[in-house]
Amino acid sequence: MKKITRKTVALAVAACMMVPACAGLAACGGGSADSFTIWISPNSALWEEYQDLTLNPVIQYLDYKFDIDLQFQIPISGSEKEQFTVLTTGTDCPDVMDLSYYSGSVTDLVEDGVAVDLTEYIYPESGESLFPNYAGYLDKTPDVKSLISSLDHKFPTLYTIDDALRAPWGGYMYRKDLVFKYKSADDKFTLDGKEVNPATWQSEEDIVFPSGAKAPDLISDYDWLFQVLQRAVDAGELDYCTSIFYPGYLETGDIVSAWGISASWYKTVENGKTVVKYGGMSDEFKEYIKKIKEWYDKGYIDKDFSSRTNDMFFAINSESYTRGRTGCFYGTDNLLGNLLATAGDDVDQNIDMRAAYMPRLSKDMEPTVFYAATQINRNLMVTSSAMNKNYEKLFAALDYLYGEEGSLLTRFGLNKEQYAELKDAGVTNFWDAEVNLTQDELALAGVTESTQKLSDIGVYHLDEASGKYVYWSDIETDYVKQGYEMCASAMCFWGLAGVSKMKYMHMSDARYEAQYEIWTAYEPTGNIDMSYPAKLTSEENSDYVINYNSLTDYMATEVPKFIKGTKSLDSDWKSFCNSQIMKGCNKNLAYLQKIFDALA
Amino acid sequence: MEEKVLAGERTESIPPKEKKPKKENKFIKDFKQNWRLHIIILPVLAFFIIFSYFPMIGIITAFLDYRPTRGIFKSEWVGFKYFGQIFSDAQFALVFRNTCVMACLNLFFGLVIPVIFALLLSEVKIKWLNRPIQICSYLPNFVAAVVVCNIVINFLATNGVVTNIFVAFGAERENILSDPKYFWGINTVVNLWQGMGYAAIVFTAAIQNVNQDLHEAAVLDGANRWQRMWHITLPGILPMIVTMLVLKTGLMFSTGFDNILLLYMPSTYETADVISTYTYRMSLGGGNQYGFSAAVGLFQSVISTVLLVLSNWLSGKLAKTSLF
Amino acid sequence: MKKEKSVKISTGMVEHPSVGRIVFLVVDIILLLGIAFVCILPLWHVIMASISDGYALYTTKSLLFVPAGKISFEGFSKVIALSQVWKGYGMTLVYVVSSTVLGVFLTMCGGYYLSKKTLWTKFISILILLTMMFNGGLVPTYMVLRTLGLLNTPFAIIIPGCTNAIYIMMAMTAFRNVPPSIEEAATLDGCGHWRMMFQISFPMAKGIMMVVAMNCVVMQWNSWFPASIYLTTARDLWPLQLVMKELMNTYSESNILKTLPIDFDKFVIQYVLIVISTIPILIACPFFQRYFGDMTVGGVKE
Repeated sequence: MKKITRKTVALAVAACMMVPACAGLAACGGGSADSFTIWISPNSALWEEYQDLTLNPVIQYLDYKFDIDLQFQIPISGSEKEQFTVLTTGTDCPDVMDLSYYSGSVTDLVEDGVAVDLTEYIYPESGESLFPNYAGYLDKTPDVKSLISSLDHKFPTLYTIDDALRAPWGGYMYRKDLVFKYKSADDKFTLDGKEVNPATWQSEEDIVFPSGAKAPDLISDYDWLFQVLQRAVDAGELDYCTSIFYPGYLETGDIVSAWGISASWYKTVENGKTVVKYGGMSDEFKEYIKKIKEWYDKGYIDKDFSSRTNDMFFAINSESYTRGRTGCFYGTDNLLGNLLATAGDDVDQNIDMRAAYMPRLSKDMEPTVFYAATQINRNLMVTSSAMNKNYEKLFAALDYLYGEEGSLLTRFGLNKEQYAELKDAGVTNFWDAEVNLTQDELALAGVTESTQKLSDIGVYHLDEASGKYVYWSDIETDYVKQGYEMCASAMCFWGLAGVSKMKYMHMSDARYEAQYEIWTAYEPTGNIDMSYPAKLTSEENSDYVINYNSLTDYMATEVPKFIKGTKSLDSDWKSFCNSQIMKGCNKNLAYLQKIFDALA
Repeated sequence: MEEKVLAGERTESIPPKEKKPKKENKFIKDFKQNWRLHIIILPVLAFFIIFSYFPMIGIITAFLDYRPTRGIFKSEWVGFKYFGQIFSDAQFALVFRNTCVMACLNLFFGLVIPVIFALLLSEVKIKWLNRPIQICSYLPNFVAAVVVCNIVINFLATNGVVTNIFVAFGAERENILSDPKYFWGINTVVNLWQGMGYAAIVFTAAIQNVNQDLHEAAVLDGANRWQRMWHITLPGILPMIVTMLVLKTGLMFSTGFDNILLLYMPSTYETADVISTYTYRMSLGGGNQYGFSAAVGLFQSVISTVLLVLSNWLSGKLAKTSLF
Repeated sequence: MKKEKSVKISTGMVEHPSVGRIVFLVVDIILLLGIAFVCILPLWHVIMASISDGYALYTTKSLLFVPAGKISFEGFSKVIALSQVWKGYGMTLVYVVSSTVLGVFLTMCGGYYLSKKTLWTKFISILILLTMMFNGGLVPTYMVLRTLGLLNTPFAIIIPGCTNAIYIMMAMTAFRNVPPSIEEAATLDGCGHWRMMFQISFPMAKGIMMVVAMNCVVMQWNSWFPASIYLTTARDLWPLQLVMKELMNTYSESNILKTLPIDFDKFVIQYVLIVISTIPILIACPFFQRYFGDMTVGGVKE
């Protein structure tokens, strides 16, 4: 190597070593007794408004009101679990940590001294509770209380709670316009003694299903629906009538619930006692598979269903349904109506997606085991490193979010008075984010550039007269006139501890109200939420999880075989059941029963 | 008598010394005499000791009821409990078989095909053709596995391009990816697609490093292309081939399985499931799997080491060059 | 007289090709071009996808030879405007250069040392090879770094992964190939080990060493996982791939599907991110290729 190049390389190496050293020094920071770090994983697109959460005005208000300094660490998707593991090994881990990516037992964390058992602060033996709002809310809502309490009736962690079940973001839907297009006199049926001839229907609103409902209700309605949609498939307008999730059933119980059971564990109440049952070996499950097989043989079901393992259950074969080529499927509410038709520029179709009821066998029963969100969202633990600081302030700040004021704060941002207060105190960088309004709406509000700051437009404030939170502006935008309650997403910060006001949460469109009613016709009382197995001890939890994974793995391989006919429902059913027992379905049943007995 | 190993020497041309009674003295004497050489390795050793050997203490968690929050010292000793769990699992034999088969396929084709490709490429001496072809060949290595696998899924779908070709040759029309009997072939081809060009780079460099004088001399002696390739080029790159072979044998159980996670599905589990994907699925959502996964890792490491030593010894015997 | 086409074998030598030779060459070239075509497909698909129209892209799941729908540079303009992307580029550059220089240096030392046969050689090679086979796991490595105080500093990225057993073995093979005559000649001129390594042996083994260097560069360029674990608080130190991963998550399919109405432009962004993070390395690789065939012959009379 020439002398010159060698020297250059040496200099380059030295320079490269210096830069990181300087950068490293700059990155060092201290933590005072009032500064708390929160490790939390992002939960939705709402967070993308703020790359740095300390700029969110809600956080700034909390800092101001409780005289603390909240910092955030957000793990990268893909390495949350690993990050959680390494952070909890040290003594300097973040003060508040999200347990979404921790699947072990909370008692382990308390035992090892990582998590602080908050029960003594929430429900102290003597003295004042440091979490009055939280304790008060739990006492008011015993259902939620039992959902989050541990087996020995303790409350070691904080939960993020919704004050009501949120509006469903999805459900079964079908193409009503195609039902209208392909109706024929061959589909006639008798209803209440009178004959109904589909050929006489004049518009979509005339459509009535054989059970009498306006949307598919009974399994027999679905049979009828697929019969009609099959003509659309034959005509080339659809790829197939319906899709099912790759294991052949949905673990949450949808559709299987029509037979009154679920393919896995579910609960019923008998004589006032909660009884856990397992449906994978029952005759009803066999009937379910028979029905699906019947549909599969008739060609109603996507032939490739078992290979779509990378798709979500609400988005099976997106290439097909986004072009409106799936007749009936479990989808998200943003596909309702004719939104699909307007998605692309050159798509010129008349698509009308409408909600369908969760199917049931007959009118005298209701499905009880199907997917539904629960009221509890996120589990946060306070770590022992917080106890070396002024933890009372932290507790006060977190507890504030469970009160009326706090939950409105996180939902809507600051009101007028608070904004003025903070501005006087010298806070300036509130409004860096863009607003979720269109050009026209902004123009109406008197803003000429689309990236104008919120400070010129205003925020929500509590209107004393109506008692509702309204968009604070001197000009009423079109949205407000139509009665929509929209929130500027930059302002809200739900996801940290607290109670979220569900009524205002969903940016619901009045068009969908009717559909939501169909989707919320039943209550998922049979569901066993994921938080229940987490209450087991560490050993039991490990065993439960191994059995669970092994069993679902097996079912995902076997049930499609029954549906496709590679295995026979008559001769192979017995060994199918035996394998399930060997993989531990009854052991897990015992664990779950034990949990419910302890909580009773 | 020159006992020092000079920079220029590599063979044992040290004349015989007098026999010393203790064995250590031989090593210490060697160190004292060649200390200038031995200093060179010190930074490397320090690096490996700090960043590889200190953490290796963590292997002991395979025998403990370990929780990271509890630490190693407070965790109970459970001996071979996890290993017992591994071997008693009914699926294990199947999973292990799949792992071995696919590892062997990856190893064999992952070595033979790049070498052939490098040889073919080096025959094309036209620079403006050679360079772009080589660049194109290693491009797939940089495209994320997800993208490549999406393309593969699309090609092998019921109406996919490759499926159509198969049907033209008389196979029945189905989603090829859902058929267990094709999976081994698919996985090998996808790994080759991604890795061949990149692996061939080493061999291309080695081929170009072969002494041109030898080629000239061979042509003067009347050797043709094939004879030159067989007698000069191949022996010239044989050390590199052996190096890569031995190294890859050591790694064959730990690499080449990333694509499987993206391409497999329940209907192909019987041939596609490997140790890493099986343990991943079984520990999904599980809490304390640390000891268990450490045990699985240790099991794989031990097997890999045995294979490494074996292949090194074999190549020493058969090809007269070995790695160590 | 028929002019025969001659092929240069090396300086000073020509060979007169036969018919068989030409046939072989033609078949060879066609085969290689076919392979090159197949290999360029994934990247071409990604590039085409990144300038496609969002909705068209989402609905066509097949391989793209031309952009789906109408060409739009929306995705690019959105991503380029983000400041953290440029910060990520900067940090990655620092990491790549530092790590490669350190890595090549250590690899060179290791390879040179192992190419000499001393009594210690076998023992040290086994020591180094064992590090490739046995891994303590994530938590112990993290603890070592924490004890050393390297967490949340750039050194946590530069040092731990800069070299490994494979590169050292490759370097050893390269150094073994250096003709002993040259080294003997240098020793006679009074050359010590260090000078020998840098000035004599390294240039002779440059081909393979450049491969090692390129491997270091590529590995460092593509790595994001160590940064996500070791740089939890220091966001300014994040390499490009980690920034990309974070953005990918924001623009992931499930997030997009849940908003109202669906903003299909966001699907393009995933591909834009891949293009932005891959293109630089693709430009750098051919640059390394130049050195592969670099050979200095001569200096010694046989």
